Amino acid sequence: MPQLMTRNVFTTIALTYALYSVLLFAYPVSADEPWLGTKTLNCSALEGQSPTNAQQWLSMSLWASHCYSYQARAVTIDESEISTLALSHRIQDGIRQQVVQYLDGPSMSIERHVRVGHWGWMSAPEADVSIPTQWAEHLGDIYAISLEGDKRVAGRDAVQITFDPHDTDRYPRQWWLDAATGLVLKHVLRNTDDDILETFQVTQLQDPERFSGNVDIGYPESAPSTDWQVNWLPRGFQLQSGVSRELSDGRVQQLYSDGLATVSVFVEPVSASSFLPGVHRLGVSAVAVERYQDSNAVHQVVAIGEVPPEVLRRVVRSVERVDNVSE
Amino acid sequence: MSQNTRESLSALMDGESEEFELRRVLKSLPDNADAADTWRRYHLARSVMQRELGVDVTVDLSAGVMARLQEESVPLADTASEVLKGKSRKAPTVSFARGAGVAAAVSLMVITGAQYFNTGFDNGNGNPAVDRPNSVANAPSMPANAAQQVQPVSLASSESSRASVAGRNMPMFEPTPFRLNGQSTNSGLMNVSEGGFSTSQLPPSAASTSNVQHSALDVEQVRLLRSYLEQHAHGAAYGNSDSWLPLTRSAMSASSLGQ
Repeated sequence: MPQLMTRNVFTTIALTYALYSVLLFAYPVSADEPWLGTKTLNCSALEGQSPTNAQQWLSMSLWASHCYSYQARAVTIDESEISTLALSHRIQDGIRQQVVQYLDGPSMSIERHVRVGHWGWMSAPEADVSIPTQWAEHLGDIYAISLEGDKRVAGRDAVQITFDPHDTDRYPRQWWLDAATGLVLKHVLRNTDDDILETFQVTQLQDPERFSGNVDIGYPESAPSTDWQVNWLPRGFQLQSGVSRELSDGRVQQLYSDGLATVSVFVEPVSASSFLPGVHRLGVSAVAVERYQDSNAVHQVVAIGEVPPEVLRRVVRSVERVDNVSE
Repeated sequence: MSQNTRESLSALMDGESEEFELRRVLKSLPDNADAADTWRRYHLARSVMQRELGVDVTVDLSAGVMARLQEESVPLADTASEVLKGKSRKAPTVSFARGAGVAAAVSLMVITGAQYFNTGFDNGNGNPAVDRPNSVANAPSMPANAAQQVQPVSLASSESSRASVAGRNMPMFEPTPFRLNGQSTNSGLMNVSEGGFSTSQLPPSAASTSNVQHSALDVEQVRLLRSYLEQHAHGAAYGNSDSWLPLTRSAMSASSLGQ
């Protein structure tokens, strides 16, 4: 009996907390956000931050992902495999260097280099709201976001943020953020039936060290114009101009994101090695392929992303050629 | 794969193996599903430690390169650069193609994010965010430039990155277990084609794509699929606070596609 009572009390507390955070979330972002409207960020602004709602946590986590050098051990778990990883994130000369080393099987590493302060995310450019804040606000339109405190991941205090989409065009997911730094410690992606598709979890975070310099914030310019237009996307997906580009071989990549989920659409002339139209699944990613004939040639449209396959199929079928886009 | 083969591969890389030994190992490779993989990874390890600039490959080329090796034996430089041409990177030199480079390229993906942003961003003041004239900002030529600007950084931060240093500076990382040696002049790949890699077993992932619907994907298609996945993953890593998960997905596309 006492046990039962304890559980009830706990549930009540959790519910209250969840409600509370939803309520808080409804308010506009507080004006005392230290990075509001700045073109550079001094990472020391992160010091002593104590976010009180989910949106502030999210905003802080995006900054934190550009402000800390650290090493970590982590695991990823997908439907078929568990991998242990060593991670390194360093900030040097304005460049974020990320290294993933695979600790299982033959040695393999991935490096990623990207300028600090450049986010793919961009909705409506507003001078007086920082990109992380815009991003966090946008997420609030697409997902029901709830915050729970007093979690623990990899021996560190954490908060848990749950993203529950308002529709079935994208997957629900959860993040656990390190309470001290705002770094993402754990990420769980679920399908629309709530089965876990993919888990990323830090098992040991070592020496997160805040970058002492200023971070210049980059703003994306407009995307390269293309002859192709995607006419349907799930609600809230926006073209990420900073990561859309023309590749070689006439391949054009346009990346769309709702802030969490991403979809890339590639258009290119059909070649001998092109895919047959259809929908393929690759782990959590899905790939949908269609072909379009115009007066000159046959083109292949490939959409790839971590969204339900039928959504991708609809995206890829909505692509059509437009003339004179930029004139 | 036996310890014996592993040692032979290692000796091969270091240029210490006799020709007879070389042929024996190469002949045994087709029966050795993971030996080819190991071969590539050994080269990767060496390339990383020697800071070879040529290995900044954003696309996994193994399937395509190997498929071509299957068909043609020598002029590797031509073959390789043909494969590489489309991948928006500078054409490799002959020694790069003939030597370890092509093999090494397979396992290391250096993702120079700058290639997106050199063109796409300014710093909000109307100035280019990069210290390079904007006039070069036409996309196809970018990656080579970006690669020069943002050089692949090996696991150690010091100039001479040796395994011991890597181990010391990066406690979370395993010290790379491979022996170090000077650049080998072995053109191992030429011999490999003679040994006859079977495409059905070569990209280890090709066999495992069976759960991809419409599973009649040939090697070329697997390669293509990987390139899409990687390009997508690189872009996806920008969007939010978690760039690790997309990154690991791009590796999945290289190591266990379709699983």
